[in-house]
Amino acid sequence: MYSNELIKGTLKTIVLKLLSEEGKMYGYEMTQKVKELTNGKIVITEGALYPLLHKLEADGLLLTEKVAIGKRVRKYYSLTDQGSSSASEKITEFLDYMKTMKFILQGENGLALE
Amino acid sequence: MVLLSNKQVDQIHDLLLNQGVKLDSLRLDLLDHVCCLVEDKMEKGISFHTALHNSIKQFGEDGLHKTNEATLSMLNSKSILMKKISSIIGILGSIAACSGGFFKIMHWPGANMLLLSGIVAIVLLYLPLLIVVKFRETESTLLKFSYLAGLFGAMVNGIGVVFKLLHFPGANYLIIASLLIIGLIFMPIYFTHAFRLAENKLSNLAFAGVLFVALFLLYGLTNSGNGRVMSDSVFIMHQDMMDKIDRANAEREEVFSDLPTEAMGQKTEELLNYLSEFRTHSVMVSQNISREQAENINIRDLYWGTGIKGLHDMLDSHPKYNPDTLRSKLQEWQAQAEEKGLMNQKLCCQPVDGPKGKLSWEEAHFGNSCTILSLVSFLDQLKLEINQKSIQLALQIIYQKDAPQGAVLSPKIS
Repeated sequence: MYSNELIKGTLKTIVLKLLSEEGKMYGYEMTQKVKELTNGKIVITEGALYPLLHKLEADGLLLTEKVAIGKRVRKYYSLTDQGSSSASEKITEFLDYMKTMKFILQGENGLALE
Repeated sequence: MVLLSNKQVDQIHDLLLNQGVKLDSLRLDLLDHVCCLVEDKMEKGISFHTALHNSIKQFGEDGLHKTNEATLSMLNSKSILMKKISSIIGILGSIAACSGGFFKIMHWPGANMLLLSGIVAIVLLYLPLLIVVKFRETESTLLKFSYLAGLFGAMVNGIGVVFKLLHFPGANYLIIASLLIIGLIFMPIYFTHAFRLAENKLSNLAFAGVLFVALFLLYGLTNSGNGRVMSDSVFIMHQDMMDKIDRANAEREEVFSDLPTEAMGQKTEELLNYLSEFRTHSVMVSQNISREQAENINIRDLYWGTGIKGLHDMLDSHPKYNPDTLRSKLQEWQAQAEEKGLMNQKLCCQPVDGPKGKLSWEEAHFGNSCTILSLVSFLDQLKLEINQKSIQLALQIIYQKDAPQGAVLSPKIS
């Protein structure tokens, strides 16, 4: 399992990527999906996920759709147009960042971890 | 596949509410989330209660409440700065208004300016900003309604106080209306609903300060004799003095008609005319009315707050109608009257006993705390005295003409 710090910084990218792949998802589904995809190496906590989802919704990146399940309501989140473009931006940026990190950590500049 | 019963869902909902998930939209999410967690666990044969207990534990200590707070602060990150700015404006505004009220009570200069700037800062800057911030944080329509009522009440109150300071009519009605709005609509809703959710101490402190100032101003200004209401006894006393002046005036003219060559008759006439002009001018500049209106105004219709700028400007810089000219004219008349034999009669150019010891003549009658009412009464009093003294003088001149050399009339007349 990775440290909270790492997950915190990348959570937005993870959520946007998930939604761009899956279309619409509800919160619990996202946590399970991430756990499954990463073999339990990344566990998203509810305390971090829901504040982010609400923030993204308020910023106009996400849409919600409410479906009643018995007495409770399930909220499905999906990307808006703005959210889609923000998702691809974030993903490109992060891939680039990983390349740079790799360069720093394993490069020929003597910074290699040894 | 386990699906929770309605009763179990309600139970989880109440638990979330008790654990501090106040945001409605977040509670929907977390309710579904916890239900899923519990259902998953029950699928593995765990009982509902154990499953629920373990699911809540998963959030960590106070985790549900913290999630609620984290969501709130994420949603309000923009308004945090706004909240700080509005709180600072509110605190500064209430300090300005409070010290303005204090200055006013002490009759120090600049009181109105401080009060006005404080009220403007509070009503036009602090309150609207506060309402915007509060609207973003609040989901309850009842509370939103109470905020609007509070803003409206406070604005009416601010306008009422400004009216009062500027001596416009209708100020009292505005203040009473604002009190009713704040007291009967805003306060009951706000204090029963919002104080439980006190998220931000700074903004509540500023808010309490503003409420306090509003009530303070209300009390201070309506009770500081700043209105136009004059008590009946003062009015009757003044009417009585006016009657005395009329009678003394007629008597003086009659007595001096027996002395057509006496120069003091003319001098006295001039001094009395000067006093009348002084009075008319003071009324004109303080009430902002024409000469004709000023000559005929009933003393009851005067606006008589302290610190009317026009009046003080006139007293400070008018070439003719200022305390120095008045004093020298009075002293000149007195010197001539003494030369003619008027004895032991001091005119009121002397220092005056004030509540805090002796005040100079100028300070007592023309100082910062002087009102148009006190000035008019003082000038009328002078007119009465000059009339009475000149009658006495005339009688003495007549008596000395007929009497043997060296005889002096007693200075008191009946």
